[in-house]
Amino acid sequence: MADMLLRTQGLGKRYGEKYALRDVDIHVRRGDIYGLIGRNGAGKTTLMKIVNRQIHQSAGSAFLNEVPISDAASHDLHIGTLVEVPNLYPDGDARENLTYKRIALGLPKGDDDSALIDLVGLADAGRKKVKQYSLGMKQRLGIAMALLGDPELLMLDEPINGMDPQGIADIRQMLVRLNREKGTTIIISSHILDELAKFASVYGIINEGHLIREITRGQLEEENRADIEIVTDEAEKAAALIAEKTGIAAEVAPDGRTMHIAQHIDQHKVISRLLFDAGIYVEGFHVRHRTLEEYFMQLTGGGHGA
Amino acid sequence: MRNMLKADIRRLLRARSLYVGMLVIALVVAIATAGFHFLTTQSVEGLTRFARNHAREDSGNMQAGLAMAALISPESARQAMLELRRQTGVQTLSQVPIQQVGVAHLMLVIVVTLFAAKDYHTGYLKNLLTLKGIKTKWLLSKVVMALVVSILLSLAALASAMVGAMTLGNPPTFDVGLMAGFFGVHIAVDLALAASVLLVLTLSQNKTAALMFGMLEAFNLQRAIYLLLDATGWISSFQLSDYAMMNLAAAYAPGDPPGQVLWTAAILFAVYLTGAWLAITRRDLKL
Repeated sequence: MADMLLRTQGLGKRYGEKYALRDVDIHVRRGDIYGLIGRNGAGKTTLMKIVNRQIHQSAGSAFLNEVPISDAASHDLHIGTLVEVPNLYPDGDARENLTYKRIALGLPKGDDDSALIDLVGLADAGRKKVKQYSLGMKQRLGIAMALLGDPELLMLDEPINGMDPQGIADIRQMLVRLNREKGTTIIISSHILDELAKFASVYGIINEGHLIREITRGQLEEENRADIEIVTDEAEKAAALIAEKTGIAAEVAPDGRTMHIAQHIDQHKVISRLLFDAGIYVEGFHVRHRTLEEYFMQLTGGGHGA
Repeated sequence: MRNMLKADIRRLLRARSLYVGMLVIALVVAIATAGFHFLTTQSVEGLTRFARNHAREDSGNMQAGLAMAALISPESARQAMLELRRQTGVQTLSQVPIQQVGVAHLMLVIVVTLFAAKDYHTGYLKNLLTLKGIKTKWLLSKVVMALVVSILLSLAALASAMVGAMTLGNPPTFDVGLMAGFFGVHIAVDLALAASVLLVLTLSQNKTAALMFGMLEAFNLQRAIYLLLDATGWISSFQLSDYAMMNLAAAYAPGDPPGQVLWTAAILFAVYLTGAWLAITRRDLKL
């Protein structure tokens, strides 16, 4: 439990007769980059709103450092949040928006605001008012607001919405740097699963208000090996050798050079050594994985995107 | 709490609506000053007409009494004009936007609603929710901001009244104790109005609803509701409409004992603020 930063226990939220969240137990360890995945309306934002004390849970509890989050009168939560949309004063510029929050947080005056503005790539915005910002710029400022005060947990809901590819890459690199250098724990939700797959260390998959799977990156890779693809001029010979020595069937493609092994994928090292020892020249050897999106679709029964 | 207050003060002093409100009050005083100037420099016939009109409306009014004298002769009319001009000092002019026109209470409602609702409609409050007891602090800070707005609007009325008095050739002096009591009563009324706005804002989480309710309240919605309740005979031995805050405030003259209006404002303030506190701490925020 010592490394557990955030956990929920039977967390639920009901609107009338409808459950937006039901019996959710998530476990976010210190240092995790926790990717929260689910379709629209699955309950991701509801979960974040409860953790942000924006709404009250109908059932269960959420704990930060083993202290109940709902106990709002007794302690600060050292959390930086960007939930749904960046919430900014439109008539102020980036610095002004940061200043109000900094004062409210009781943080001392310093160079932090400039550093944060630089960090999220808004240095060129100058004194431009937020109402003149593009959606991507607002998202960047929203992230800067969340980072103010150096929170131990950063909770970002769709933070790369409206950003261009370069902006997405910048934000990803920034989050990874924060995680590695400062040890900031991050919970992030995004519909762009390929992007999440690039840096999340744990995934929580929510469907229809239920957390249906919590899985580490390593487990995901382990579980999602799809096949081994081998490219060699001696495909038939290689397939026969593998079958003879290991009993594993390999299927040679019509091009006569490519072969696929769909079973016993965990034996990829044995197969590789076997071909090497037999003097078979291998041009390509790939253990292929299903994508996060394919895994998500399989778990949730396909249909609409995350 | 101190941090929330500091952040709010900084934002309040940058809010355009505050300065527009002060400007409107100054404008009302300027219009009143121009009116008094016109009144006291007009023809004897005009003043006689004024005297007749005033006499019909309120025979106990000091200005009407002076104007009545104008009916006697042109000389007494000129004397009446001079006397009326002399009487139009800081005390008279500073009451105009607060009591005669009621625009000061309306401005208070508008400034406080726009200021407080901004945290809701921009969702900025969401950035602060992880702080300990922030909802209570937010609410109390808005009450303090309402107090600051009320004081600033009162000062705008006083300052513009001083300028107005000098324009009319009167000294910019006033009885500090008397005016402090007068402004104090109206600041108490302002706080009750602000609490009502905060209640509707925290309940509805909607700026328009809060603004409309506050404006109706400033225009004495309460009396209309009380009259309705009185008409139903709900409480037979008691006329609720006698306790309508804006009525009591409008009838309050400097130097009067402030008991009834202060108590009414204090009770409404406590009820509205408790409601607002329950609403903000118990309800989900739709930000």
